[in-house]
Amino acid sequence: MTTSAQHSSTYIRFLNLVQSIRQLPSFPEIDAVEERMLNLFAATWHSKQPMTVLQAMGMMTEISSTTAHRRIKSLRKKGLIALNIDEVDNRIKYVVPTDQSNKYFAQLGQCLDKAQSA
Amino acid sequence: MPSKKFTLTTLLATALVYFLLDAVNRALFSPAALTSGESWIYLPAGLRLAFILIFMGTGAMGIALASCAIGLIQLTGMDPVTVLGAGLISGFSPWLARVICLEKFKLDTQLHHLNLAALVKMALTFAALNAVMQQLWFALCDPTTHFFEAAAKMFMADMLGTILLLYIVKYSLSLIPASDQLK
Repeated sequence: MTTSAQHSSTYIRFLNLVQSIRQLPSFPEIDAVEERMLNLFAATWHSKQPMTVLQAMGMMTEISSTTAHRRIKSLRKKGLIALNIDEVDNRIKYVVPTDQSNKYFAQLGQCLDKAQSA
Repeated sequence: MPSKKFTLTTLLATALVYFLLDAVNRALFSPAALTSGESWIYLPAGLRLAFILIFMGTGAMGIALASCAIGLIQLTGMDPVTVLGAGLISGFSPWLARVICLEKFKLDTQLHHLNLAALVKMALTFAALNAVMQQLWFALCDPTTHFFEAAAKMFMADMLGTILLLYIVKYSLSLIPASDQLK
């Protein structure tokens, strides 16, 4: 085996090992309440309906509005939602998806596709 | 034929890195050391897995070399033959575990189909075989050794060390910014 071929096969083994290490499960970045909230938001975003912060806070009837508000702030901090101010009335804020949340749902969709085709 | 220069460089580099990580492990986890002087977490066990999978036989020789050096420096009160034997087992038991795992999990030497499940099973096999073989050797040299207790402690330390090191690698990789061309 030549030295360059040997280098490349060592590197291939390294890459394959790194690839399997990348599959290690990560710690959850969003908790169960945030995940449920994000799923409810996604359904509204999909129907192209604008959603105000007040409406978003009332979506999960099982949690208090204080908790809902805290979770919305937390989701915003994690970059999974953004708040857009209404052009006419700046007291109204709309909850909108971000690139990160779109990526999150796209990944979930890919996982489902993979599971269905398996 | 493998290049002698490449083999020698790999052997010395793996031995040096393994030796240094062992020193770091002692510094980090010595306050939480077991009564026998062994740590609850042994980070070089993760390195052992990686070196054997990537550098194969050369990695095993590097680990054996470093383990012999560590044993001779750290275990000064012990019989040198026992220490050298343990060092050799430390290097070559993972090699044996690799052979078993490649056969059992139907993996090729280039690890093309290595996934997370196989990696975890490999880590378990590496830790179990190393703990059993090393403690068998110690029991053979000194019949007063508590084989099961020592093997269980070593297995646990190796497993915890391997998992911790793999997570350190995973999070270090996630910190590397993606190239604009690859985004």
